[in-house]
Amino acid sequence: MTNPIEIHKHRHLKYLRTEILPTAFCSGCGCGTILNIFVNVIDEMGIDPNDIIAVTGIGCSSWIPSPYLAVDTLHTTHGRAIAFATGVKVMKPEKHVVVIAGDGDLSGIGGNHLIHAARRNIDLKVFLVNNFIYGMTGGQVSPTTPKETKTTTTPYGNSEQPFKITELVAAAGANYAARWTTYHIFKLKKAMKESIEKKGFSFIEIISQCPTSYGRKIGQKEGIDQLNHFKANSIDIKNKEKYSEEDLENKIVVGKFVERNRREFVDGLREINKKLAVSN
Amino acid sequence: MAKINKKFKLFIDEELCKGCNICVELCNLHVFDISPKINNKGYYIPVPERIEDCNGCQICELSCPELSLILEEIRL
Amino acid sequence: MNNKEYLKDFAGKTLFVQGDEAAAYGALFAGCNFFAGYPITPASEVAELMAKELPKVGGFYIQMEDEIASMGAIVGAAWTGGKTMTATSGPGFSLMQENIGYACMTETPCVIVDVQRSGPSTGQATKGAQGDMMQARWGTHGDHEIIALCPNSIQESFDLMVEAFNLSEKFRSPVIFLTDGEIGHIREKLVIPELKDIFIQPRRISESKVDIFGGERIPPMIEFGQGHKIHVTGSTHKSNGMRDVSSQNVHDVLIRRIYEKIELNRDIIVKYETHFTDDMDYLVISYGASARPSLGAVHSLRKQGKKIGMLRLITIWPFADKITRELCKKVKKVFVPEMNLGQIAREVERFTSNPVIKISKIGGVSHTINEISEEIISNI
Repeated sequence: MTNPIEIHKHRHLKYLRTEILPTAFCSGCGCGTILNIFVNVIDEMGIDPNDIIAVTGIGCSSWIPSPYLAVDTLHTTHGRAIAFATGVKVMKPEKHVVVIAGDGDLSGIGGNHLIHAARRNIDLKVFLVNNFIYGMTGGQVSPTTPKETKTTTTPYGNSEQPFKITELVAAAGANYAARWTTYHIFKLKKAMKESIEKKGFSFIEIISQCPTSYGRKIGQKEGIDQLNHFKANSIDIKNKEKYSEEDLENKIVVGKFVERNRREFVDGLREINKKLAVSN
Repeated sequence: MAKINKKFKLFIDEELCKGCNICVELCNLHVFDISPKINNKGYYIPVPERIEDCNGCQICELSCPELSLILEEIRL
Repeated sequence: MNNKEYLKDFAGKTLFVQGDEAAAYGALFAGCNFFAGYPITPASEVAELMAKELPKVGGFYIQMEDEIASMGAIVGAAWTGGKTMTATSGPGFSLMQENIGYACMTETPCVIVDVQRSGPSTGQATKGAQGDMMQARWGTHGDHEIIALCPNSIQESFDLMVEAFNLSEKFRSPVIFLTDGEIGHIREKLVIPELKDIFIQPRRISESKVDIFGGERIPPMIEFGQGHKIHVTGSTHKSNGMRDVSSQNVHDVLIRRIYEKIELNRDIIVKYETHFTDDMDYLVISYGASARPSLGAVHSLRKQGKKIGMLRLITIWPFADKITRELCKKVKKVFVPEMNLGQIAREVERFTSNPVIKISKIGGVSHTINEISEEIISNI
């Protein structure tokens, strides 16, 4: 039995700038999945897109919000999305300020802004899409590329240690930090909701596939091959203790790393202004 | 066989689909087949061949990178 | 407590302050409500005063992790309703360049204070200089125009700061407040004007959805949160803000418009001051700190009967082309005292075929009046 294929449009396309679809993402890229889950989350949470300001940097994953997401969008310079977003959030704390960008952008060139924003605990929702590579520029080694991986700029294998970004952000003081993959779509969705509900710096590292510039080079040609790899190699943080550090080296530890209630940065600034207004 | 009171419809937006087959592979119930049909962008689009097996888990819809897969619940 | 009530207490008062502080007061009176910065000598006093006073007028001071972030934050805040500024010196100004280009490309009003010190690199951190004149003009990559103002007194630090904010709003462009360590750190009298005497250029905001990157030479802005789902990008974009990086025409139209909105308004923007230019054989052109001993030298040479005139540039960029060309025609030689090895002298050469003599002084010490007059006398 074959089903007739009807022309039907996704109900969440209303959140996208549909005139520029289909996306520019390669077939099987995880960026679109993250976009899909994000609009699903804002729909379920009933968030008005007019209350979202998306800030992004440079790279494939920066294209998730810009241009596709139909909200106020600030597409900034490479690595600086969080710095620009800080100015945005201070002026309009009532808005959801969301930063979506890649591992190279947020943890490479922009790593300093990432840790300082986490330390300040400013109420930004940061979704770092980690595909282990500089994809847009054609597959150069990134701060998250696993050891020994051959990339265009590590032709003899990567001799560096990759960043553990979620651990870094948790240690820097964020109110929420989690890591999931594009395989764990329901858990990722739940984490996105939690992070949006959480006041303070909320961070999710989303391990994602890049079939074109990364997967092909490590023998995982299709997007689905990398998803299967994520599935087979993910370890829930709850079970982390069962493994030695060595065992964990090539695994993806997923789950919620931290959730706490430190005072939020803009609240702190506004408290000062309130006090001064009274004393004057 | 127990009778179920709801079923699902699956639609593929051919204009958006890029034939990545993530839906085909991730579906635990093997609802999809790769299509022999190519869309106008040159991608093989999937077909929900065994729609009767679908339990509406939404994994295909949510993981679709192009929002080209639409799952709808229908009441009998 | 709103902005005005607090400022009223200051209005009309006479203060004895540093140039850095005068600039900060100017910003407060211009309506600045967001400052992001990073400490650096000799600009830290701007940040310190803003940190103290901004919260009192309902504004926000934030200290960022570096100057790159500071420049980013003021652009983000400007798109969210802020009148924004940052302050730095040479090394920080270098770091800001990429995001200054972003502000040019996205036509974001904001003010960047560069209290110039001796460079390159760390140079003489505590010493004033005028070595960033060309960096202010060409520091960021790509074709662009920029507005840069050079105060030469504490009073002018205040007045020009208000002007800097007004120009940034009027032309939807970053404006560089290009002062120097000398002016930044000396103390002089500052008379704060009455509020009614300070003109504030309002931001042009469109309430309805319009093209904010084209359609007219200086389009109105739409800010974040107005509900129009605007798209702001540093990539080449169409008039509606959407990226188009492959069409030659889209880039050409955008960049020429951004260039022309300043270039074709030179006459409105450019400010200068002349002394004894009606009757002169020689001309001195200077600006900022070096304009002070320059004017002293001109006065002393006049007393000796030498026919010397002076042009003080207040607006550095866009360059005062017409007056420079006109005045240079009247004289035999032009002298340009400046605290660099001839950055503006070289620009002056573009407008005259007469000899342009550099009177350069570097090393963190200002010219003396005698140094300048001796140099002039030995060349006439």
